[in-house]
Amino acid sequence: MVTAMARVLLESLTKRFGDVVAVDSVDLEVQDQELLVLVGPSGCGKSTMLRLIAGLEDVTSGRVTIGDRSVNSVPAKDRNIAMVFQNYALYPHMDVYRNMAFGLRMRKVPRDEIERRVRRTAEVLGIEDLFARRPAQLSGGQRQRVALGRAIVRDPEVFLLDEPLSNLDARLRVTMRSELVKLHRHLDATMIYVTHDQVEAMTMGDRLVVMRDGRIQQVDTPRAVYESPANRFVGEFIGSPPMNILDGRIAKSGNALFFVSGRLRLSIPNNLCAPCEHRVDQSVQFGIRPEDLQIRTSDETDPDCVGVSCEVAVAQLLGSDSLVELDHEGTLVMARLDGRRSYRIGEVIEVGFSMDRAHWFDAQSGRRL
Amino acid sequence: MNTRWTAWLAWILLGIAALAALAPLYWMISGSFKLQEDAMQMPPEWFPQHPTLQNYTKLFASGSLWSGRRPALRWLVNSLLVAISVSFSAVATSALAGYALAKKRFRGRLVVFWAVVATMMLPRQVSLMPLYLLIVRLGWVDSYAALIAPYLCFPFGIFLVRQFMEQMPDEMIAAARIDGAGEWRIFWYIVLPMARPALGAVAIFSFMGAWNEYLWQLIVTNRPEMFTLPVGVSKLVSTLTSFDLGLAMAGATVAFLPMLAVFVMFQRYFVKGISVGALKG
Repeated sequence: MVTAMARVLLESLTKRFGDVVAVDSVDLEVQDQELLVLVGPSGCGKSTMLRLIAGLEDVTSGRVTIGDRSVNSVPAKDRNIAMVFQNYALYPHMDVYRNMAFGLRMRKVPRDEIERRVRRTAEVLGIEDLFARRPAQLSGGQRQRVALGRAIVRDPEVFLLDEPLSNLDARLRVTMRSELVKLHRHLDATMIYVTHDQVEAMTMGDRLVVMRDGRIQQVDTPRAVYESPANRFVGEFIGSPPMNILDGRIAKSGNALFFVSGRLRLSIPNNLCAPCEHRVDQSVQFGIRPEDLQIRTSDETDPDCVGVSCEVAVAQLLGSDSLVELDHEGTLVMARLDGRRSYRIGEVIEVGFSMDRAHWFDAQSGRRL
Repeated sequence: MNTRWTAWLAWILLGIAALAALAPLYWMISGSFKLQEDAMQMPPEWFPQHPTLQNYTKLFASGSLWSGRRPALRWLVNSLLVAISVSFSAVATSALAGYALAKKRFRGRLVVFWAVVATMMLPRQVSLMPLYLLIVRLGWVDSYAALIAPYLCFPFGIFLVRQFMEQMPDEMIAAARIDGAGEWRIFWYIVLPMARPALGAVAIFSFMGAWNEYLWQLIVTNRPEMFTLPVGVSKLVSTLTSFDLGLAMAGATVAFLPMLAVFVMFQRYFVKGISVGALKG
């Protein structure tokens, strides 16, 4: 199934519903054969963006290009895209075969060709035994496969997937996640995948687009988004549990820099925060991920690991790790600590902050420093 | 123990209620097989002692079939023609209007919807006279047009279908659109089949309504060959010099049977239609 170059280009794309700006002058290029994940909290405009690409909504301003064709005025059925919906949207009165064949029938594909393509697709997805069943007689996972099959059988240039896994139970979701990635590789197709689940976003995407309030916050590989979030919002949104963010200011004593928040005072080892040099006595936000806090042992030699003594406020054992909420004289931080050790509430432990992995944000704009 | 007693009590009460409801029907059907003198007998005869088909032969066979003095077969055909046309038209218009009001976004959509609902609240008597005058002016008295035209649209049907279609996921329509279906194909292949329960209910309700629309049919028909069955039967009772109870019962039985058939055939939809909106998904 080799398709033509299926690049998708959005240029200052805007969509308004009355006074609400759902998508706010978005520029984005989705490369051919890429699996691009749009992620953000609900209402951030990611689904609207997908519907604009699909042609289910009219563009307020800006341009959508699929391949080499500007499709602003091309109706959905002629855009050569396929979409998978969160609730699958299978036709309840048709059996699985007819559900998958419907798009081809509408396009007047010859009957034997339809049969060949439906069978081949069903084999790929392992649903060829379900042809005679109605959607109501299928499990969630089977419906999901049929919905995918209905999209694949059409051999579209671009697949649009709108939260396709969110109606599945947690276990099936993990399986389907890797199946989708394999499928993407098998089809060599361009896929745009919308989700609010940051785990899905991290594990599936070639690149992530993090959105908020109709605007793109960051576009990059999952690793880059995770390791250097463009702003405070991205830092908190990607990663679970979210990044700890502390409001505070930079202080200088002698040659040493410190971050001060409430009664917490962290020394910033040499050159780990170049922008902080210019922000002495100014407000900043300090971000650190829960896994960048460890229990500090007495033989700790890493100079970038700054020790603070904290009291255990809450501890949740996850298995391999424990999520421990720590209290340093009123300042609370969440840490992901070794799960083999047990934590008593009220116990005082020495915690190391890996300052080389700290994130610094502007106090007003939230932008990364 | 206790629940068993209440169950028995419920059965007994329901049984009595059912008997009370069925008794007139029984009286009608058994009466249609009685001779005139047996039917009028006091105390009443519960089982026909001398069962006879005489009333039915009288009803259908006296005079010529299409123009005779009692053209009951013609009345039956009239009634069926009216009820079937009305119910086809009601289904078609309700489906189209209901879909537009549920799924299409256009200016004044809610106003139109509430206007449709408002017509359901008008008492029939209010519109009866103007409607009759209109029919007279059109010269439609004693015509099928007069019997059928006022019922081509069925506000309750529009309401029912609209409520039903509101619950259809928009994604289904979007999926069909992406699959390459245009407006008509979406309507025909996706929306209509999914709305079948609601459309079935509309068909039944409008058929019943047309079948039982005695008052209107009475005032727009004068010639016996344009009567519908209920009108004809009532004339049998009220205009004959010697009141023939057996004949009237036979007429009523014939008028009742098509309704029974429709109900039995579409009972599933009937119950569904009533609970439309109460159901989820």
